[in-house]
Amino acid sequence: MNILLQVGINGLTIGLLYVLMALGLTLIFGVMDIINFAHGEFYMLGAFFTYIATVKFQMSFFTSLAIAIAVVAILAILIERIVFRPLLHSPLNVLIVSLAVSIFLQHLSQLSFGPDNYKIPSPALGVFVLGGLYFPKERLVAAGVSILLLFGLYLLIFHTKFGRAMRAVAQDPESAALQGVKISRIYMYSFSIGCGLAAAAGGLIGPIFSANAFMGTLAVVKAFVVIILAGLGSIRGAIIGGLALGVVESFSSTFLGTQYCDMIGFALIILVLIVKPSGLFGTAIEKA
Amino acid sequence: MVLLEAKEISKSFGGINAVVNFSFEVKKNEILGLIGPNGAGKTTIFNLLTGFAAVDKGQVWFSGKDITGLKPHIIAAEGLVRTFQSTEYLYFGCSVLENVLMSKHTFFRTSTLSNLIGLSKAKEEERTCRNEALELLDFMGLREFESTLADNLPHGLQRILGVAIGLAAKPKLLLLDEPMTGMNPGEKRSMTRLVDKIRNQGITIVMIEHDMRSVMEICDRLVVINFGHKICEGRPEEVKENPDVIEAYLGKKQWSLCGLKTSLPGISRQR
Amino acid sequence: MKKENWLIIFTLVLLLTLPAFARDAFQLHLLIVSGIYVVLAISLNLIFLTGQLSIAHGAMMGIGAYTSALMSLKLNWPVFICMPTGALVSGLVGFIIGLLVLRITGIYFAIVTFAFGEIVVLAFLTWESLFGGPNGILNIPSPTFKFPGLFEVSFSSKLAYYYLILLTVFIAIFIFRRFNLSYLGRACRAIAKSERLAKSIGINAMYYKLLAFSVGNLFAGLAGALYAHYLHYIGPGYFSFHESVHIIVAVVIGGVGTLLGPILGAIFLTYLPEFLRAARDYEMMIYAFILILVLKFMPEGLYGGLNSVKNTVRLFFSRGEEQGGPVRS
Repeated sequence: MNILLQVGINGLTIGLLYVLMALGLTLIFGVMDIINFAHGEFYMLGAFFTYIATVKFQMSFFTSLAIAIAVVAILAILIERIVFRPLLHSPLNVLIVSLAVSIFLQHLSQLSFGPDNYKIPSPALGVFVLGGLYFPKERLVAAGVSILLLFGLYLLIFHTKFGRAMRAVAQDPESAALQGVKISRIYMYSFSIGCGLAAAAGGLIGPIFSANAFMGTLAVVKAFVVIILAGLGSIRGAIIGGLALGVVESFSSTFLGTQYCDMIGFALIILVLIVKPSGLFGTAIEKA
Repeated sequence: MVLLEAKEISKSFGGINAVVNFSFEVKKNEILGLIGPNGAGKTTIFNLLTGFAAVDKGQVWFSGKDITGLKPHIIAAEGLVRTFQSTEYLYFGCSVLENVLMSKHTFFRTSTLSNLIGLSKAKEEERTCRNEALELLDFMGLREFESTLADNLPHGLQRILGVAIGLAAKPKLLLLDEPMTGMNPGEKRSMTRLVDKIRNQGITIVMIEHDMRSVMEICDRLVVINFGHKICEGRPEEVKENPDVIEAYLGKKQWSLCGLKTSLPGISRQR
Repeated sequence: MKKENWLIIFTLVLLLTLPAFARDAFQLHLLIVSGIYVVLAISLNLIFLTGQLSIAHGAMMGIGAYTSALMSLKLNWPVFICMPTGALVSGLVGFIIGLLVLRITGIYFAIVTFAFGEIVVLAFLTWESLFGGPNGILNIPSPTFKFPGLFEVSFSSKLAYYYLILLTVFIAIFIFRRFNLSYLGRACRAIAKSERLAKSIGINAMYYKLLAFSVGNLFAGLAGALYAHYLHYIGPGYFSFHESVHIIVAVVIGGVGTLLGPILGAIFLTYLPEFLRAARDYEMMIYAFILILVLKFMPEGLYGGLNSVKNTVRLFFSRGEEQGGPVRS
């Protein structure tokens, strides 16, 4: 029983990080209607910037994380304005360009840091034991910060004027524009927030597993699987899906092999999309 | 002779009854007006008749055949064609001629394979259809805009193009969904003349329209819908005296009553 | 009119004599690879014509490749039978998947094709007994043409293969051109622009989407088979998501929907890495940067970009009146 709970809890803590990734991705899709292949690279940059701040500038973990998120958010704004904005009318072009950005950032990182793994120093060492269950303190920190960020995001989206504007644009950009919402600004900030969440996930995972130039690819695939199954643009789905993925992965890596897991994941995607193309939590899309 | 018949069709969307037990008959070569306040369910009826939405109950018969539940393209091929209320349903990026040519395809007898190989039979058919399309443009008064992109047409001509696309599919019955929306009086008169011309070609027409003057002028009969129910039907002169109809209109301020010359207080339309 | 015919003849002669200009075997290799990518790009473009994005093109290529390779090795059938069979299998798989999935539109369709592609590649990877697992399949024979009793031509040389690929490219161009010019292409474009409108005038959307999808995948399979019998070796990594994306990039960079666009894109993408090779470590970064530049400044792709250059030049030389401009009401 204890083992099951332990595995479950481990899964949940990693799941929270998946939620951060997935939420960022689904937010960008919901508001801007674009698929951002470079999402994993912002995650990777978050990890690397945190590393630089802690190791090179000797700052505390939390300060470093904050700085990393801020830097990535600003970088995201630049990239959105220069690269994505002119192409927003053509989702196909956006897809390709996000791929190009992804390749560019990956190799830039590889050039700067090499292919090695970098471990971010732990914010808290040791293990917290409660009722026979082990909670590694690093993971507790990761979970705690994630929850804080999620709460902050919730407040932003549902309790601020900006959040309302975001939701309006996600629903119907034309009507929102007619009501005076500055679409371009919403796009900019939404993109920034989405990438910032990815960066946070990267920075938080750095101490637990290490960081390298290509860590983004695997992470973004998982995030995509989550939001596809859950429904593109669905916040609820991203949260539940992310947590579910974390738990499922935890169980399957402990008790089974991971080989057939991938195939099952993809087969599941096809099945779900045939039956309910909008995903498990998405709103019904109109069939042409 | 009854060409189109709806038998007690109903449709509800998530608890809202959009259309309730609607029945009507359309006689060959007549122009029937389907009128009623906004949101009364008129476009939904068009969707139900043409297979774009599935009926919850009831049947649709066309030309003596039960077409209930058939796919839209099959119903269109049978000769029941509809146009759309919004001008977003045009082939943007294509010229006016190409727009109309798109509808000609149902009449291509040559097979896929012969077209792939490029047999002369296929090329011949292409030429014939092209000529037919040009004739249609002449008929609709669009010939001079043959190579203009649909995007660059003024609104009124875009609406005419929408009708042309439907007409190019050689329908027996044409369902026009608000063909005059957004037109100025001059354009509306042109459209009215056009609708009459189409009828004189032997095509039956059912028209949803809000412009009362045009409706009174051109329709042989009217069917009035409110809240998904048919509340009245008959000749325009009869319908406009009907108390239920008057009440339905009085309740909605945006209605122009300029066509209803009775002792009603004048309510002007805000446009 | 006459000018266009001369241009076509000139291009034909050029293509037929191109190997003479190739400095070494590697240059010829590049030509062959470009040719295969041209077929892939044109066939993907066909699927694009109906407004659908397929991310399974690499996998379909793989199905054709593996089928043809396995048939030639295990059944010992002549390669010129195996290759079309591989193509047909890909087309058939496309047809079946299409039946299930083509009613889904837009991004969701793309996602399903992505998932399908991943499953296919995973199958290639894990079903070792049949597909050879991560090691793939080796010793794939070259195509040979046996004229009964008389002579035997083997297409093992690069030169011979070049002409084989050229022939395939011509066939692909022919089919695509016929599609585009006939009512088939028109119906597909109607569906892509407004499926609802197309249905309202009697176009059977499913039929055309299925047709384009199946034929597109058939050619992908053919390209894969040709690749297999050229390299004499295939592995699962050759047909992954990366491959599918590569083909998509080729089409988009070249110019979606046109005939020349995918051709330009495929050639451009094949030769670009060669030019960047000197940059070594910076190669991928510059590659990505060039992609971004092209998309930013030539949103219609290379073909669109070249077209605007041509138009600007034309306008410069003749002050002609604008045709088909906005109507003044």
